Amino acid sequence: MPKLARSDWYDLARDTNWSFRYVSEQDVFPEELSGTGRVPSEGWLAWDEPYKITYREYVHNQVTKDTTTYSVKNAFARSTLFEKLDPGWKSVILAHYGAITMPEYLASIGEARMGRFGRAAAWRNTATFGTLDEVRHGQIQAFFPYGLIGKEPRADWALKAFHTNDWIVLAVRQLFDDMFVANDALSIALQLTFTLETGFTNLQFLGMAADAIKVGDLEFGSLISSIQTDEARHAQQGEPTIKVLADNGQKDWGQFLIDHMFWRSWRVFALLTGLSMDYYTPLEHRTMSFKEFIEDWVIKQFSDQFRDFGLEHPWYWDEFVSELTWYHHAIHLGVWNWRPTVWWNPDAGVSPEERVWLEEKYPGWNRTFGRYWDVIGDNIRGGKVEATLPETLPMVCNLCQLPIVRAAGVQAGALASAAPLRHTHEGRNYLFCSEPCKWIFTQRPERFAGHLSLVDRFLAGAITPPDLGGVLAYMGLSPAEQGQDATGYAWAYGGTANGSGARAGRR
Amino acid sequence: MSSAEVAWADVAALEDVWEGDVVEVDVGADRVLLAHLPGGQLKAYQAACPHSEFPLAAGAFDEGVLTCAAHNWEFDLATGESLNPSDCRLYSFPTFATTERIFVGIPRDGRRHYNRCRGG
Repeated sequence: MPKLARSDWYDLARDTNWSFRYVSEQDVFPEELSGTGRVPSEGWLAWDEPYKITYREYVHNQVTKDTTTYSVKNAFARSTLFEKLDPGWKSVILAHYGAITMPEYLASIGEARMGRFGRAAAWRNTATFGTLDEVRHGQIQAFFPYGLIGKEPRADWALKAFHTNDWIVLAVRQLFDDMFVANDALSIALQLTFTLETGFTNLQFLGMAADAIKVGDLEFGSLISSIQTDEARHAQQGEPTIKVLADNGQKDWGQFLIDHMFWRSWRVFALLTGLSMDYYTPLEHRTMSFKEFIEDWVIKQFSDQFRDFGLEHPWYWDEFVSELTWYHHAIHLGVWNWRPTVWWNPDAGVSPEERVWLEEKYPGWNRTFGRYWDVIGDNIRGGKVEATLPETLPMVCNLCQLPIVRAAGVQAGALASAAPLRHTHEGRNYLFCSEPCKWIFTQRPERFAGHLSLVDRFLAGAITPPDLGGVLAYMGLSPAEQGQDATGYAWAYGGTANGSGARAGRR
Repeated sequence: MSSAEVAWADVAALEDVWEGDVVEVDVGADRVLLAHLPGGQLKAYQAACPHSEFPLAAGAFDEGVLTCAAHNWEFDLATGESLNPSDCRLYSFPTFATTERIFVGIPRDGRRHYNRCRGG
């Protein structure tokens, strides 16, 4: 049967739309859900996704991807592949599954909101595919770790994490509520698909898939690659949305939304990817440092993309660039110190060889951070492991929910004061880790004011008994689930990065 | 382009770019993608995707169509024209091969050579 070429019918079919007679456009696209009211309806007709796909093509592609990826999983199901993985890499994937699986599923809500309340028919069509993508990502990333539970019980945190109050989850959940669960369609296009996905995660997933293959985790590599090829497509909803805003005199609103979410994306990226790339990935398989990745792919490529639309670097750009040299190192120290509070085994990643690499990639690392690890190492070797474990809670930021680590910024020469930033809103005091976090809060305090940080909950009496044991129980962490040093402290005894000595044999 | 307008650079051994392969090479300030098309024809294009400057050599090359790994953009490497989206084109360099070596002609204008296309 003869078929028309896609280009002969695609635009006509895609742009099928309604003319409203018995309801107002405002009723169909309420501003709270759509967010598109700054641009008149005719302005949205110009929305045109760069990469086009038909439903037939979509289904064909997805079936092919699923068949390939599930086949790889089946092939390795009875192998010892997982047991042989580097302990740091196991931490990478456990952290990933717990922090990302449910947000991917929740992202289907964000995509569906664009699929319903996006103002252009073309946009709604593209977002419908995105909805299907994210349902798939939630399901496949719950199923793959399910297969690991017999080998690593904490793989069930792929499902469990988002149903706990673990501090990492509090941070990730607050972020993604802001970004897409409780956001309007226009803001989702700019903040989820453009800022987070185009700017950060799409390219990071490419690198992560390659890293997985290199360390021998073919199952995870196949999974991430399969997901990335979906994200590569649906991430492209942001650019036409920015173009419509810019062409209709609303560039400043786009700039504001991107400034807001670029910082928030950076914060969670530093937490999850910064630690993975610079401390957890086996040394011999690191192709670039986290800082180099951000410089090459975010600072250069991504910022070129938004400047193509006449947008500027966010106002805090210098602070962002400065943080590349110290912020995630400080967060790593915190995560490792509070290791019982996470569901993976933090890898200190500071064996002698790794410290040489860190100093090479981050000149001054030994002076700023190495000296802390010197003390920790002395305590480990002196049999005083207890001295390396936490007794109290850290101060956390009321916006990003991560520990306030400004003292490290002072020691790195990047900040003048270690004191947290403060703001009072309707009689309640809020603490912030940085000027951008405070700025995001104060621009729209009604979005964030009601949220209670972990410390707020502790002080309000929500955590009982009010001690570390109570905190761990509140976070859903039984003793068997609490994180331990990934290599059994091999690094403190000169253990090599991978493949020899104590490290290779430890979980 | 005449020889006066381009500088011919010896960039690779023919045996290193198999039929059906794409390879990235650096030529001065330019990153060039060599494509050995099914059927034997050689082509040379800008090596970075015009959309987000991701290395095209990291993409999938199948039946003459290269799909960029970053955002799935598709290019017909017989012409350099984009297939999806349909309004973009790779910068094309002149190229030829001897029995052993591949040569690429770089315009003598002192600048990098690439096209850029916005995704919207």
